[in-house]
Amino acid sequence: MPEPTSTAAGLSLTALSIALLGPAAGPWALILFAALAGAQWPLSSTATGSRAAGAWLLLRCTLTSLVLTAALSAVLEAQFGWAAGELLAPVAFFVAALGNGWRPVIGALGAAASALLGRAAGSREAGGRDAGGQP
Amino acid sequence: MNTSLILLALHVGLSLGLWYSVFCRAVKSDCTVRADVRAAFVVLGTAALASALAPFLWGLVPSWPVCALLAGFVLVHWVTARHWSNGVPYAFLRNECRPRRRAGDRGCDLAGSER
Repeated sequence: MPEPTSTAAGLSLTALSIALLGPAAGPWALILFAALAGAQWPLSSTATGSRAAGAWLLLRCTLTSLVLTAALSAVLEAQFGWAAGELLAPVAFFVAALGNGWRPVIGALGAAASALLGRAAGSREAGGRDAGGQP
Repeated sequence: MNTSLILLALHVGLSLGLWYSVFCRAVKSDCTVRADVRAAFVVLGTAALASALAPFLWGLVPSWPVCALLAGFVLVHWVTARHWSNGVPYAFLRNECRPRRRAGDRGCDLAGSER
């Protein structure tokens, strides 16, 4: 009975699939797997009328994750120094699991940006007042 | 045909079948379903997907016990599919989302005995 671990036959199948699809197939397949796994959460929490609607939601979440994962991983690597290659799967899972919940995230980002802008404008006004005020 | 190739086809087919059954249940689920039930199905679907991709990504060699386990899971899902034919089973719904039963609705046996 073959052992359920990496053996020559298994490795040859993996090598064959990589040879067929190219060296980037591994990371892309990992992102696709994590995205599909994450997209199951919004699928199970959203009322979808039919299997076609469910498949469309799954596809939408997966494609969103495929598009955003590489860029988000690069941003996280630049900000925190975490290796982007190791972040691909968790980031893809998280982005896909967010599903239709992007509106509050974008709203929160907008609120944070407006707060930053307001703070910057306030500090500029305060600086101008200090510079032009009476001694 | 080579035995290992048959096992591989069986392994991938059963894994994809299991994932499809989870997908069908997820389509019928919504926010009225208990979170632990939804999480359990997400974990099962993720495991089924990983099992289907493992021979191609991580060099897993399918074996008979794993295929038998997968077949058992698929069989359980196939047999219990009739409980999902009218939507999510009552026991899987959150308490506040369960439809209220009528006071006189006690089931067929009691209703028949009262007549």
